[in-house]
Amino acid sequence: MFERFTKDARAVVHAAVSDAKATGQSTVEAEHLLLALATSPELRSLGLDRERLADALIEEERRSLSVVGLSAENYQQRKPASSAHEPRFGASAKLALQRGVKLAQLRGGRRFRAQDLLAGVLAAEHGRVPRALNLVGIDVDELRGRI
Amino acid sequence: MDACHALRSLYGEPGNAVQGARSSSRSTRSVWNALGCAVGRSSSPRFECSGGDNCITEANGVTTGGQATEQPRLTNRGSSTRVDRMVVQSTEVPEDPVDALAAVGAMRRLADRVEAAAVSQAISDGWTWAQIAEALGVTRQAVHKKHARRVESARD
Repeated sequence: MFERFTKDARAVVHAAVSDAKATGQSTVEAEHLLLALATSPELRSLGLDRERLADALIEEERRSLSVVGLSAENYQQRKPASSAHEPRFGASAKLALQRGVKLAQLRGGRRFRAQDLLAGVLAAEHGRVPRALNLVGIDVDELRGRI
Repeated sequence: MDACHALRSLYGEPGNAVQGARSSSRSTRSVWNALGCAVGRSSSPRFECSGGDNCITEANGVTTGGQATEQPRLTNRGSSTRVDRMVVQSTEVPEDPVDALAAVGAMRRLADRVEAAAVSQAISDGWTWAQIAEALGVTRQAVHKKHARRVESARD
């Protein structure tokens, strides 16, 4: 499977893993893939750079916690401890990869591109990625259509 | 990143059923061998239910482009019903559970961060792993396994 990944797609996966590791997280999730995809033309054309996406994810968490009356100001990941463990793929990242692979197969492509990975990440109906994108005013349906 | 690790995370050990994607164990094995990944122990069975006929299969379908991949999961009917009733009667979860479910995920991540920070602080204050474990209500082995490498690498 992995050998079908294009160089770009591999680079995205690697960047997502390093990102999760650098922020001390034990799992790689879909949001790490999204952040690693921030240089993709589809996201850049919407003015979505890495920083804006990262802010959207922080805001998503702030709002989610406020629903149950919690504030995490003292525990935001500003200066995170890096993890010594190699992070594992979490459920949301596995789903994104599975969906991306499926979409690539439907497209009839033999190679798995970074764009397929983005399509897989955006296919999520629930979870942090669509919630964060909605917060920055992105119409996820429209974005899916562009890919 | 270790490609073997990524593969293992994604597809489990070679030879096991692959969730969502069809892939023969032979081709999976060849990829593993090509990457020089050691083939370790096989993992335990994924789906278990002790309730006999009470076990029902839920199709947790993921729809992508008109095709559905099924992720069968066995659920004990009794416990499922009980949980449903409990949610309705005893909590103030809004009608649309979307925010409450997102809050649960956010709380888990917050709990992980608070735990990591607190364990680091405790260690630098001279606590033993046994004391930390007791305070957290988990075994010493569990807390050591989860935090020892991180704490030690941060110290260097």
